Amino acid sequence: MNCNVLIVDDSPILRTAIRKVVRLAGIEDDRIHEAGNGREALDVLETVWVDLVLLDLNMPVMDGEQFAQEVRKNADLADVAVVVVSTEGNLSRLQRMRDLGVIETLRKPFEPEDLHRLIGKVLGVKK
Amino acid sequence: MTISMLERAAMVLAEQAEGPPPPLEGCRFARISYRGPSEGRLVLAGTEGFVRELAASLLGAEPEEVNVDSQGGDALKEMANMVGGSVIMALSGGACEFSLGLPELVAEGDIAGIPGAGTVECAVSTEFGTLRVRWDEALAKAA
Repeated sequence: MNCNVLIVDDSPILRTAIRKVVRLAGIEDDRIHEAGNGREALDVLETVWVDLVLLDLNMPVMDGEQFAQEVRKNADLADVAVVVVSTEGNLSRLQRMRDLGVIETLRKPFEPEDLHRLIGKVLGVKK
Repeated sequence: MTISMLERAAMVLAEQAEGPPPPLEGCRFARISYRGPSEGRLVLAGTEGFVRELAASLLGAEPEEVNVDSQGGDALKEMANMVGGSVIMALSGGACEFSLGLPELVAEGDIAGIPGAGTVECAVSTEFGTLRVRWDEALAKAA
């Protein structure tokens, strides 16, 4: 699948685990990018076109909500699909994320099949 | 909840540990706090064998290939994050108003309970080790 995916999570081990699932969903390894927080993710978006961002919320430096706010401000990033992958259960915060344009939420822990299905759904719609 | 979390997140099979709680010597510790209608925190204590097993499962590697300090610690923090997330969802019954903090690795000297808090503890055993979970629920704002 000719799509670029950005995994944003402060846990390196979880990024590795998610990366495996993204590969299984048909994304080539060199099209999968990683960032450890929202700030690093914005840096990646400045250099690479990304179709899908898999975004954790609770991160140091810049959290997922701040990242989504920055993405929303930037018209060049309007087509980037953002999916929250987080333990977050706070309904107010999740509503704020939807208001910022997040299209789906996947709660941790998830089974690999859940993420696989979600990637297919989101990128299938974008194709 | 912890057993289900291990199976769902990392495909690590676990069962409730029987007998007295395992000793904390040699364990790695992760802690996460939450705030909202009430406040509290969870402390996870994993034996080295458990921490290796958890990280290996998440990485798709063999336990002996895992760097227990970096990868093992990271895995234990993520486990605290997930158990914490499930606890606040269970506390809120669906309409969640809680917020989780960031998980952190701590030393054994930093895991003392919250004075006056209600405490619940459990232990689960896996093929390679044991995980103890302590939940301190304190400062109920609604009271």
